[in-house]
Amino acid sequence: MRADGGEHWISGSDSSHDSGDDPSSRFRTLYRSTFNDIHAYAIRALSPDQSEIDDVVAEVYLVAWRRIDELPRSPQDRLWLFGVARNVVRNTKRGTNRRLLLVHRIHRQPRVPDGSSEPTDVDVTAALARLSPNEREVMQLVVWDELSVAETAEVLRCSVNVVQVRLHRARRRLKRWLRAASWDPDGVAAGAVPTGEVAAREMEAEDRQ
Amino acid sequence: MIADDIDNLVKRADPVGPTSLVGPDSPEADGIWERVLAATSPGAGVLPLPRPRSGQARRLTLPALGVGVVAAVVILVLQLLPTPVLPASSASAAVLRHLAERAAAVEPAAMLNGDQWLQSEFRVSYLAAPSHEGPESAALQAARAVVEVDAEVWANDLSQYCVRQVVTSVAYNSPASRQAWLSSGIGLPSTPQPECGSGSLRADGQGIGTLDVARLPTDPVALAKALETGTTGIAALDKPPRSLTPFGRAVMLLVGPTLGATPALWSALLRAMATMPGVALLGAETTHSGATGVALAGAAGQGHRTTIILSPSTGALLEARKPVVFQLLATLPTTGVVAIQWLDAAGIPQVVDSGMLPSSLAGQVPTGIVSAVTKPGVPLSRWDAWLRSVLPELPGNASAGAGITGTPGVYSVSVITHAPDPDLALIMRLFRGSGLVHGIRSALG
Repeated sequence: MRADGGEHWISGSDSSHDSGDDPSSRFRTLYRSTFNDIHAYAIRALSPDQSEIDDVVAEVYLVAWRRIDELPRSPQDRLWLFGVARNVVRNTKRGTNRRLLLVHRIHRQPRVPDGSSEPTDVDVTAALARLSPNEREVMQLVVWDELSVAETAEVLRCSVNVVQVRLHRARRRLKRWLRAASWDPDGVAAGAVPTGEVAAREMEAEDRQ
Repeated sequence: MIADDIDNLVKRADPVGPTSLVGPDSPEADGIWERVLAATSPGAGVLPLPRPRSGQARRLTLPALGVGVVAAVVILVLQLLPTPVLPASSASAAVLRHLAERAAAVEPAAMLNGDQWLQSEFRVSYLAAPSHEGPESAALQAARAVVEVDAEVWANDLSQYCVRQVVTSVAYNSPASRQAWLSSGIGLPSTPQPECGSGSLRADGQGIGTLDVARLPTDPVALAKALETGTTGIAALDKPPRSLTPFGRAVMLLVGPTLGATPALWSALLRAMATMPGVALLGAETTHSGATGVALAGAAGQGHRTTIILSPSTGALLEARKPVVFQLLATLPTTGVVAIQWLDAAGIPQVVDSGMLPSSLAGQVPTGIVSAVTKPGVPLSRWDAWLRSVLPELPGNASAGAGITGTPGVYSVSVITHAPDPDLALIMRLFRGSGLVHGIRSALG
């Protein structure tokens, strides 16, 4: 009987050494060393909807376990997990418009003047939401998940050059929109951070330049 | 604004914040880890079980709506708890104690008489691999199939059993695997001939048959101790082929089939389980047969994690996922069982007369049994030697079995004959003549 051979089983105890090639130990080590990153990624990617975070994280590690033989060695395994998380998040969000609806609500929130010319978090969140998905994703991976440009390229399976271009465009647009918001304290409500249609037109115009 | 300013503004809007409060040792991490663990126990790598869903309070969640009775049970228990976020073990213990009360109120099962059998049915899904001696091709080594079987088991109080199984589906992991399996000359998993035999054939607990639980204590503390120390007096539990945790032993009992069980025993078993560490409450779950119950999970031994789904009204087992059970493996229609994925108890065990056994078992159903208890101090090796000398003399394809009793060094032994007109008197004379046994009894099948 092959009950003890050929299949990888995760040990339920913590007594095993977290090193070496034993798949169970390796998986346990991977979980402990990357949980924070993947959990945070899921929060950011799904924010503000909190209901799916645990499901997404569990699914990411289930995928990792099923494909433990394909998992690259550290530190590439962390990036591999980001790639899996990205796909899981994408599947989770597919078919729902919750995020868009919430962005819409944020956009309509009247801004409370606080005497500061600094953009608020609401401004930044609204501005991020108006970026193209590709640009927003690059921005978030680099700034929030603190991946380098090269690491981001690996997660997104694209070239470093593409990441640099998207990052540059994202910063340029955010700069313009947030400057507009800070110049006009009522800007968010008045549309200083452009709505989707306006943003799309602006982006098209910028890209033509 | 320069790029750094933009990045700082974006960083400030990070929904996670500058310092995450969630670490690998946090309750969130533990909860997710348990879910991953529960879904990745043996067999799940090929066909994972449905992913349990969680809500706000980790494992204390109730994902299913419209399962009124289950939800009511769990809600009731959780409401009785002092805080909404207790360790899972506390919640699972409360649920198990509640179910124990339900189990105690169940109508006692009918007792078997000499020619009656306990009929139980179950559905099982297991991961199979071709068992092959000698060199194997890579394709054969990688071959796996998920086999689903509907099974009926009949058992009597003389440790005899009959099994009839129907393979309802076989799913190979690839067409190449099926081809390799077929080319190797190993039979593909298919419906086997019904068979009968004697349970507890081997004192190490391997083999099949029923678990005679009549002598188990009905005091939860004593039962918990017996399960913890492996001193239940049931060989399959005390000396399993692989190590079992107390929870693993309890699951084996729940899976059965058992003889001699009473509502008091099931109640005691659930109360004993309530004292076992590491048993987590998963909430309401639906079995593969469509029943809804209360799901709990725990370590069953050697890294196996088993989920059980219990009836909210009786505490009876509805489904066991990835159980470590040995009493069923030998009956399954392939020799390469890697792991049982799930097992559903189908219906309530019933007492039937011998005449109710299917005609396909004709010729296999024992026609007579002589049982005895060995004298203290007679080793099983002497019993084995004696059997080898007398069995060939007996007509009707006779077989024999032995099991341990509640007294150390004393064994229960039996000789079974399938002869149409069995000469039980002859067998009894042989028993007496051996000088190894006393307390002989016989029964016609």
